[in-house]
Amino acid sequence: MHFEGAVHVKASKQHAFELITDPKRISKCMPDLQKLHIEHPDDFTTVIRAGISFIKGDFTIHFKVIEKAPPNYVKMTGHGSGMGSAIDLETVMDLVEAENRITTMNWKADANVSGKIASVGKRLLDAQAEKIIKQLFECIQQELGTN
Amino acid sequence: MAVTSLVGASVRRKEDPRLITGSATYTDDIVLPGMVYAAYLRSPYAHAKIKKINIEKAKALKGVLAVVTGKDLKDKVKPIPCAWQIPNADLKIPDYQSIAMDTVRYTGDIVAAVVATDRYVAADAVDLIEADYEPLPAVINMEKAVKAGSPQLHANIPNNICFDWKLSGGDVKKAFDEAEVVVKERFVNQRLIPNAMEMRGAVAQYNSSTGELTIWMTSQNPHVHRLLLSMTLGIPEHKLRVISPEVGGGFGSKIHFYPGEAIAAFLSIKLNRPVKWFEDRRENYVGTTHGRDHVQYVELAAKKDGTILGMRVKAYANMGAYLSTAAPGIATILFGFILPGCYKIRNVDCEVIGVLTNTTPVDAYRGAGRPEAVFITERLVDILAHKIGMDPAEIRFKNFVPPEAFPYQIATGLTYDSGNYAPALKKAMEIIAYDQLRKEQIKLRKEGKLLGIGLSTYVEICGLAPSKIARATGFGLGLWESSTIRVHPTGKVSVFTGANPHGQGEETTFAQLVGDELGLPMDDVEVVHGDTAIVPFGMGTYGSRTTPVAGGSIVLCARKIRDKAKKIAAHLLEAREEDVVFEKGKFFVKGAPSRAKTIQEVALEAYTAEHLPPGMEPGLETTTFYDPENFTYPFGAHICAVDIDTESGEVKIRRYVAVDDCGRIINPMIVEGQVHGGIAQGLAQALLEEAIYDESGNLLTSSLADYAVPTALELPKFELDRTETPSPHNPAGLKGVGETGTIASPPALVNAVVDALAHLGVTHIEMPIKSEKIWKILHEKGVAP
Repeated sequence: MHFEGAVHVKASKQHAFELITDPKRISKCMPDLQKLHIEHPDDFTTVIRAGISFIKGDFTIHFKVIEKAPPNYVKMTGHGSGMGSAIDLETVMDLVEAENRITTMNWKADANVSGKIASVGKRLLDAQAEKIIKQLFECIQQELGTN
Repeated sequence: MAVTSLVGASVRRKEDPRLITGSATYTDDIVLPGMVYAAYLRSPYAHAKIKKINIEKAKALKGVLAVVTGKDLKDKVKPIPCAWQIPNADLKIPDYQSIAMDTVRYTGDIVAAVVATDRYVAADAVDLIEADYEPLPAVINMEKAVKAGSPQLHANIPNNICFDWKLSGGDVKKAFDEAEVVVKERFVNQRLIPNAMEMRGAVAQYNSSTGELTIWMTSQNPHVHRLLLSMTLGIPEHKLRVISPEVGGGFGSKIHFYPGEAIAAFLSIKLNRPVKWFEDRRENYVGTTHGRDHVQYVELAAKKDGTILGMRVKAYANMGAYLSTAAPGIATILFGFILPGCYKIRNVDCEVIGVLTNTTPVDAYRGAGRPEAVFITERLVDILAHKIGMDPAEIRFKNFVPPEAFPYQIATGLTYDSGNYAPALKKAMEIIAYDQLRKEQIKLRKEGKLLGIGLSTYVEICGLAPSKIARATGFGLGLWESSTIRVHPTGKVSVFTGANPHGQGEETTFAQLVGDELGLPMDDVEVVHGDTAIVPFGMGTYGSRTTPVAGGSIVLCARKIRDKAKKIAAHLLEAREEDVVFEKGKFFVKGAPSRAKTIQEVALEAYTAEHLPPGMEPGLETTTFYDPENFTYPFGAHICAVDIDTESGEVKIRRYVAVDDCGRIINPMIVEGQVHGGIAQGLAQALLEEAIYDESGNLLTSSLADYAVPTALELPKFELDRTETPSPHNPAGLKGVGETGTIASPPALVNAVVDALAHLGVTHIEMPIKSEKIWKILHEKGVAP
């Protein structure tokens, strides 16, 4: 699955970058966060509750920052499993600051879901992922202020 | 042959009262003191390296007794064997571990096993296992899998090709050189999920003080499973007992030897406690073998007058991620040899490429190889008929092997035992009023309505099999069948069969056979099967072999009993053996029916042993191992008439007529039941069923909500009739009927649909023929809105 988009926030790109690379702050925007374990700001594990249809459960996802150029760019991978399923994702975020401290967050994400969730809910996966992404960015916008 | 009274009668099934009142005992009904429950973690990835497995949290859960991974089984459980090792095909057998060691190769590969005091705790503990994978690219499509550069499943099997099997008969090049007409097609015989009503499972009970392991399991062939379990676990065969209680359907999927049962046995040994494992439906869909899955490139050469000259087939057969028990033989031997069908096709070339993909292993499913072959032949004959403007019935009559040619050796080397193909087709045509239907078709077409008529005249290989042929094709064992008949002192009879019927009705039909041979009422005969400690080594139930091979064995066995009983009776009657005749349960002196001994009196004498002929052993019991001299070849003609809704593309089956010839019939009602079920499963393939994977190897049709098994509502009324051409080599003339419907019906339906659309230029539609496929065609042709 490939997703991409652009979100505007009322903050400098420095502030935006700090938020999205701070496991403690960004994990609060993840859906139904159960647990967070930080090895290092660039290497952390979350347990989130998610699912499709009647299959719902805890996913343990290990995030790693694999490239970054503060405060402009960050690339992360996520690798997780749960509920007889697995998820692998890679996200890239490009930050561009315009006048008036408005930052555009250009993002791309490639996700691959396999196992039970993929089997049961393939047709619902896109919609569910979009919902989660929407929630994530709404939360980021709230934290930083919207345009 | 015995004077029949029971054979030929539609006697009610002895097994039905317990089955329909819910009082039968299935594997999951087995509860033992101290029994604990196993559950398996299956890979979410179709292809990945296992980096790390953390079982600590699972182990810590209250109620969990053990968590094991692949390394715990290393050197203790041998790889799952492949038992049909076809020769001269460059067969490469991949390493198939019960629990994956370092790589998973399909979503369903077992990664770890948990045992807990409760099934739900076991399932929760499975969720607590932290398995870390490195995903690898997966390959699902066979034609991609064989290309260089594709993901490789097994390092020692280049291009994922695990065999390349070739069969040639006659001179195919010459046939095609001389051909006036050639038809070519690419067929997909789609992947199916067997869907037995009962899923797979096992209860394993190890006794450490005796070293004996008893396993109750969902098995079509308990002795074969005992042998393979013994080889895999290292427990000697005489310390192993396999019991197959009531089995809720198998359709081939319970022939095979799987990791699940082997792990349950291992866990019972490890814990020295009874361990139960039972699939749920989702686990069944990924963990139990699938069926079919061929891509076929086919060609037929003919003369303009419809004489068929030759056939070429190149098929890719999807084996899934590993080679299951019988998989290589199903895709080749049971497929290629039967390609000429009931026609005089003297030149046949066939190549089958076995391909490994990141999918659930594929193996026998009702029909097993033969539906894939008969579909090719029956479709090609129809395509040829349409191409040369000949009626599909006429082209069949023209090419049928004539009755006087039997026994008939076909181009691939098999010898058909008996057959008389034209009367079956004529009968089917009469029943459906074929000529009238053709006239109606023309009339309806003028009105813009679509009626299609599809024929399927099949022959199939049944009664697996003569051991010498089985062995020559690489099958791991002979394929004879055993039976023991024990006449008790009261004259009641226990029949022990090495076959393992599971719903087919042989507890009834075998009692009919024995009842007639020994002159006993049905109620005095009980058929026993499914327990390796009780019945002699036997090969089991599959390949439509139970009635012809096990039934043949039982008839021979009963005749041996009768021969001994006759000797005893002659001695008691003070008559010469040759002067004693046997009729309706009585031995009497020829011409003096009042000087008689009943079989019951003789049985009692056999045990009291006071007046036995000199030198005769007491008792009235014998065992027979019957190894048939040939396969049996049932045949028949199915005709399907469909109306197609021009607005929605919906196929409505107007009539379905099946005239089958399965040799001598023991119980017409049971034969009809088998034919009904078979046609239902075949039409399901033609119209609805299809296992679908996404490109990453996730099974998208992963439950009964997504995989369309038909209900009675989707099926027509079946109009059945028969002809009866006994097998000349079978002791009772029997041929077998368990798979005929599944084999014959897919091409009948597809031929009917294509026939309805032929005037629009349609030559083929892939199964399953769903309404949307037809609607799309009709829409493109400007017929549908």
